[in-house]
Amino acid sequence: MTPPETPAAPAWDGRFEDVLRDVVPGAGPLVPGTRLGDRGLDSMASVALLLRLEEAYDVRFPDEHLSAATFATAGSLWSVVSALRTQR
Amino acid sequence: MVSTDVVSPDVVSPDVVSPGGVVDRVEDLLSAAVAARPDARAVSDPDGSWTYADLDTACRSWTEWLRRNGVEAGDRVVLRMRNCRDLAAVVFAVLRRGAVVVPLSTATRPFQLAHVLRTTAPRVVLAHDGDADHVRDLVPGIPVHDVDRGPHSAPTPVASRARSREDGPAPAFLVHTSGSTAMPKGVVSPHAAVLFVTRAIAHRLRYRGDDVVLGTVPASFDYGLYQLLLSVHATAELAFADPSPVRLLAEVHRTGATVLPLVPSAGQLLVRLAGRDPREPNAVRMVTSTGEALPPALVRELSRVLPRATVVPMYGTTECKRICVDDPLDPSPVGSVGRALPGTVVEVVDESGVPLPPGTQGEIVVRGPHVMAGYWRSPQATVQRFRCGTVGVVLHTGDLGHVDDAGNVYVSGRRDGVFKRHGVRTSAAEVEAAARDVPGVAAAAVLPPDETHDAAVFALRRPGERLDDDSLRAGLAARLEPAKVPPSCHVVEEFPLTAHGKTDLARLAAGLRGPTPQDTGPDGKPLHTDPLTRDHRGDHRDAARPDPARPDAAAGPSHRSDAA
Repeated sequence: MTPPETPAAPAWDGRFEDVLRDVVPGAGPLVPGTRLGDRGLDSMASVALLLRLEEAYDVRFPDEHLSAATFATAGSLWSVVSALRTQR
Repeated sequence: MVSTDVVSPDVVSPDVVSPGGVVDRVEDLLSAAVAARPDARAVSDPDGSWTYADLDTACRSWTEWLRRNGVEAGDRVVLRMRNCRDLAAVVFAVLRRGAVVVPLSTATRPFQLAHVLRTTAPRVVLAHDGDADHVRDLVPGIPVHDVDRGPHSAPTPVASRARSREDGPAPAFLVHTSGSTAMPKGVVSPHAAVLFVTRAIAHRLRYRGDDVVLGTVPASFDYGLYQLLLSVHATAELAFADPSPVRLLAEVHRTGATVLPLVPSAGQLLVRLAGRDPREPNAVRMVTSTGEALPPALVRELSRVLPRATVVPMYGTTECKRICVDDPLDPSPVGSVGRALPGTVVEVVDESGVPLPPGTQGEIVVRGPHVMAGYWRSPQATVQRFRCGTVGVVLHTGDLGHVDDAGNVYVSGRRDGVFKRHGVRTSAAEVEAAARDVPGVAAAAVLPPDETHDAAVFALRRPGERLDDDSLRAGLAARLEPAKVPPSCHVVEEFPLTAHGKTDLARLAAGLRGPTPQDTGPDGKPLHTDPLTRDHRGDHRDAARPDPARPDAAAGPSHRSDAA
C-alpha cells in the first residue's frame, strides 16, 4: 500500500483524480478520507469506476480486492490501484 | 379475503405436499425440508454454510431465545438484518413462535425507520452490531438485540401488553413497500397467501434440490425474502452473496450458483462485470428478473454472458407478491412478463373497474389466493388498492398495461407518481416528503424519471436559509435509502406555477432538458456500447453531453420502469 509521498503532494496521480471526478457524482475536493458512498457512488457507478480504473492503469483487480472496503474511500481505492500498478 | 371458488388451487397440486408432510404454515416448509434432506446444504454466506439440520438447530436456539424474551403469537419482530445465515434461522424461528416477521432494510433511514417502529410496535428488534445502539436510541422502549451476539443473551424484562383485536389472525410477514404515500406501508401477508404464492412460483420456476440460488436481493424486499422460501421448498441451497456490487460476478463463481434472482439493474452490473472477467459462468442455468422492466436488450446480453442460462421475466407487487412468471419451457413473446400464476386471474380494467378486451390498455388488476390482506393498520390505503367486488377482492396495482389473446401480460407504466430506481419502488410523494423535512426547504417537487431524464428533485429554498444542491442531496441521503435519492438535486429560488397556481412540473422538466440533455442514467444506454463514457451525475457536466460520435448516447431506453 503506497502512502502519499509527502503531506503537501497530491495523494494520487492526475489519472486517478480525473477518473474519480468523472465517475463520482458529488462535487467538492477529493481527499484520501473522502467516503465515496457519501458522494453518491452507487452500485452502477462503482462498477463503472472499477472498469475505468482497470482500463486506465491496465490492471485487473483480483477477486479479493473486489470489496466494499476497497471502494469505501478515495484513499482505500488508490492504495489498491497503486499496489496493482507497481505489480505490473 | 378472497373466495377461493374463483380459482383452483389444485392447479399447483404437484407441490402442495412437501416430502416431510402436510404444510399449512410457512415454517412447515423448513420442517419438511429438514425431514426430507437433513444433510443437504441449506444456506451459506461468505463466512460458512449450514445443512438443513444445522439450520433447524440454529432456528431452535432462536425460537427459545424469542420465547425467553417474551415473544408470543401475534407479536411483531423487526429484522433489520443483512442477508446472512442467522437471518434464515431467525425468520423461521419467529414464525415458529407464531409471531410476525417484519423484515426491514439496513438502509432504511431514521426518518422512515422511526415511523415503521411506531406503527408496527415490535416486541423486539434484531439488528447488527454497530446498528443496534443506533436503533435503540430512535424509539425508546422497544428492546433491540444485537443479532451478532447470537441467541444467548439474558432475557429482557417482559412488560405486559394488550393485543389489538383489529389486527386479525397473525400473518407470517409484514413486508414494507413504498407506494404513492410519504411513508412505507406494511403489507399484511397471511400464511395461506404466502404458501400459495410460493408454490405457484415454484411450479413455474422449478427450483431443484441441487440448485444453488444466489442471495443478492435483500430479504427486506419480498423478492429476496421469498428466495428463502423457494429454496427451502425445493431443498436447494440459498447462497447469500457479499452485497458489494463490484463482487457480483465473483460471488457467482465463489458460490457455484445455478440460479440468479436479479433485479434488472443488477443484471446490467453482471453484464459489465462479465466484460472484464475471463471466467465462464457455466453453472448458471436460470436468471430470474423482477423489480423493474427487463429490457429485451438486457435479456440478449445476459444470454450472451451466461450462455447456459434461461432468462425468465417476472412481474409482481408486494401486495400479492407475484403476478406473473414466464414459463421457462414455453416463453412468452419478447416484452411480455409472462402469464398469470396458476390459480390466479390478471385482468385489465378501465377507470371505473370494468374489464377491457384483450389488447386494450388499462389498469392491471389481480385476483386470487395470493392477494394479501391489505396494509397494516391502514384501512384507508387498503380500500384504495384492495377493492371488494362481486368476485372477491380485486387488487388494483396502479400499473398500466394490457393482456393479449393468449393471456400474456405486458406492463407499460404507472398511473400515479410511483417509479422505480435500481429495483426500489418510491414515489414523488415519498421523496417530496423527505425533501420537505430537510432544513431550509420550503417546498419540494419531484420529477419521476422518463425517456429524457432520470429522477430529479427541486427544492424551494426558504428565504434566508442556507441550502445548496449538495446539502439538499446530503439531506435526502440521510432520510431515504440510496436508490430513492434522485441523482439530480436542485435548489431553486422560485417554483414556476401553472395557471391554476400549482407547481409547473412541465417547466421544471423543460429546464432539465435545456442545453445539456440528460443522460438517462446507468440503464439508459444500449449495453453493447461502452458504458464508461457515461456521466453518472446526470447534471450540468460536460461529460453528460451526448457525444456526436455516439448518436445512441441519449437515445437508449429510459431507466424508468414500473414492473415490480
